[in-house]
Amino acid sequence: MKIEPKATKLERVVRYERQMHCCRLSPDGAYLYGAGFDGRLHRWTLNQKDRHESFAAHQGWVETMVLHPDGSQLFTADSWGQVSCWPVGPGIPKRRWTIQDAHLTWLRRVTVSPRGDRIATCGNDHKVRVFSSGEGKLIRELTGHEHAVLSLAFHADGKSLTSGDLFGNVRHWDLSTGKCLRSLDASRLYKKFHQYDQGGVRCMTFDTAFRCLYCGGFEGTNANQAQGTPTVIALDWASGKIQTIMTPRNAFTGPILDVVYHPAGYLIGAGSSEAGGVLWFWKPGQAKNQHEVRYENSFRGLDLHRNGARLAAAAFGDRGGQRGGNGRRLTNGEYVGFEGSIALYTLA
Amino acid sequence: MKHPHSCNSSEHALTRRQMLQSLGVIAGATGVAGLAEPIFAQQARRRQKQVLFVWLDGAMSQLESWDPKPGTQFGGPFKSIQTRLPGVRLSELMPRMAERMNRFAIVRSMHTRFEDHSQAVDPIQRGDPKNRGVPYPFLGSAVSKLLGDQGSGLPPYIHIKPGSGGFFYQDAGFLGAEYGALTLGDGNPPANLAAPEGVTAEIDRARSELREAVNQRFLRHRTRLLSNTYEHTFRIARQMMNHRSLFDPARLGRKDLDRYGGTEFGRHMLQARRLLEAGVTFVKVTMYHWDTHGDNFNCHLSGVPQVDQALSAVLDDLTDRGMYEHTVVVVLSEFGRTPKINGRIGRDHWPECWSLGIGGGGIRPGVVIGATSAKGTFNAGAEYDIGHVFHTIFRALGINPDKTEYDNNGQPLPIAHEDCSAIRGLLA
Repeated sequence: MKIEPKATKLERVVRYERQMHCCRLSPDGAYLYGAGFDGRLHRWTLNQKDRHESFAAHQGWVETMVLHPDGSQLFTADSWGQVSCWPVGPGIPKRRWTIQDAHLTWLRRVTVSPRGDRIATCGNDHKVRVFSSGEGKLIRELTGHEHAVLSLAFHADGKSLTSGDLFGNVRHWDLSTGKCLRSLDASRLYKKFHQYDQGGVRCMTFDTAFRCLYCGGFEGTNANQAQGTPTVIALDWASGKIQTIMTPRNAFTGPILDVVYHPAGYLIGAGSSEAGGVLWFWKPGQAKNQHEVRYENSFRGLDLHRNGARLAAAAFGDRGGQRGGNGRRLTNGEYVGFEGSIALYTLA
Repeated sequence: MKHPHSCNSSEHALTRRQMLQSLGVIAGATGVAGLAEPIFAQQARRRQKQVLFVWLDGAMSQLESWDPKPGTQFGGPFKSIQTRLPGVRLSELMPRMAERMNRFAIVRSMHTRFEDHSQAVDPIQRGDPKNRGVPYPFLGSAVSKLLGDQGSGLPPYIHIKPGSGGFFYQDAGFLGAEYGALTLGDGNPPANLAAPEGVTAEIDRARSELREAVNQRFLRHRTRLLSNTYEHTFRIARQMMNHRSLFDPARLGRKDLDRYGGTEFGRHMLQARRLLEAGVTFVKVTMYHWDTHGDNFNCHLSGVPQVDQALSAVLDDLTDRGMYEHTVVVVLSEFGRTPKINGRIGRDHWPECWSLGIGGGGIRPGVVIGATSAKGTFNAGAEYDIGHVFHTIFRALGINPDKTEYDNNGQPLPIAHEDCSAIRGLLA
């Protein structure tokens, strides 16, 4: 399908009292799943006035979830290292399996292979692990990163997996042998700020032809606060060389925390800042975005519905700016936290 | 709000000449305060009390370190881990300190007044006393004064920090410039420590004798105050020249550097240990850029393990050398960080409830003082201000704040906030 980024419309917003970090739309478009800081699995039934239900799922933060290619299962993972598999659909979801300690530290990303037979995870322990999607059994451990591994993407060839770490090292793994075939350079996304390691490959995705790997994060920073320029590095898959450095046309300070590739030929990135969230639409090969869409709160995870007509964006923030800032800030005498939302956009 | 300690510093590189100049000027302007009860200094000297003061500038989050609340609304992504103390848990980012908590202590219910860096940094390090119209000394200057010359032959108060160095006479407040901080920028020694080429030890000695003779003649009809300060600064310069190797970062061993984490902060902590070993009374180590309004958790993932490793290593070394029993080790910031996580996944400033770590000589090991609410939002029960901490540190050093006063040119001044007292249960 073709889309016109300027025609992107905010279709609806579902809200929750806690921050939302990731989201997925069911293939039939009936359900919107979300998760975040409360560790619960949230489900909104979109054709029933956005009826909200939530289910006990995890103990740590849930920053990552992915749908099986057939749409029947959802995989969620948390910052305490747990991965769970859930059925998609109505009723109370009963987890099909759980791996308690897929990683012993903060698990950053879970992704699923194009055929759906395997899932991969990565974490602060410098490891990438591959499990069977059916039973959650460990198939392979990929070692070689020397820093926290923040992002993952399967290649359509079924043999390759890519991973990106804090220092901007991208590794291309052979899944049949577990060997690292090559390293690609996205180190522009890392900065040593005084005594702190900043940035990293926060997100990655391939284009639909699997000719280009897009790595997102931020470049440069003037504080220990991820205050750099949102940046996507497009790596040519064949040569491994940098093809394009993609940044926003308009000034923005903050990281890109997720990217998706639209088959109509747009890379869509989600930005997070103090001033709110932004969706950027880039054409491949172009350094500056063609269009941007602003939102009241900072964005986190994205999901492009498989029909290409809807985009979900998890966000969190502070409506009205009354909850943030230094010192004691009470709302009606209560100490309340920030809230979450998922914005649903129609792409036309 | 920015403050001069973390940005646009007005510090200057130190040479012996600059130090002499700055000390002389300030001494002339402010005078040098005395102790109302000098006898106490003699008692303390026999016990060789020392302090390692670790300043995490910008404010480390208590929730990602000493007071984790995993799985709660504001707990963040990290787990907690069991320590050597039954029922006491630390953030998973502090595994080494968790193993050493039987030798250390935590105050989890700090409550201070200031919520901005510019308001908080100085008052916290000065003990936030009642306003009496004079600048109180930083803790390092206060301890140097109160403990007196402990005979190390070295400056009593040395500060190691990233960036530029200098002589921070402002730290001394009304005590007078001689109690300021000799600051080693990036851990480097002051410039020109070695005598000029061609100046032999014999020539150097002759020059000193000449200077002293001229001084004596100059003083026949003048006050000794200014001269005393000049003499003091010459003495410090001489001390540093005599201990050049102590200030040489190149003398630090690779194994030790690795054990301290292989980081800049680790190197500074190792240098601090060497200075303490050499007898320096008060060593302050500063680590900047903890002000994590954005990306708090990744920033603490990078920073807290550096503190964990270097602090653990120095505790081990001080223990192994028999020094821990007479050295107070304290780790703190100007406040804590908000429980709530803002839209940039950061935490803001939070003086309502925060934590500090303390241990060593005179401090009861293996205790946790105070508690915060289940969500870590406010203190639950008794809470303590920085004045309580000053009372506690002074007591641990053998100084009785109830009986010891500063004598600021005839004005008696309490050494710690008189409405506070030592934290019960924290003293050995």
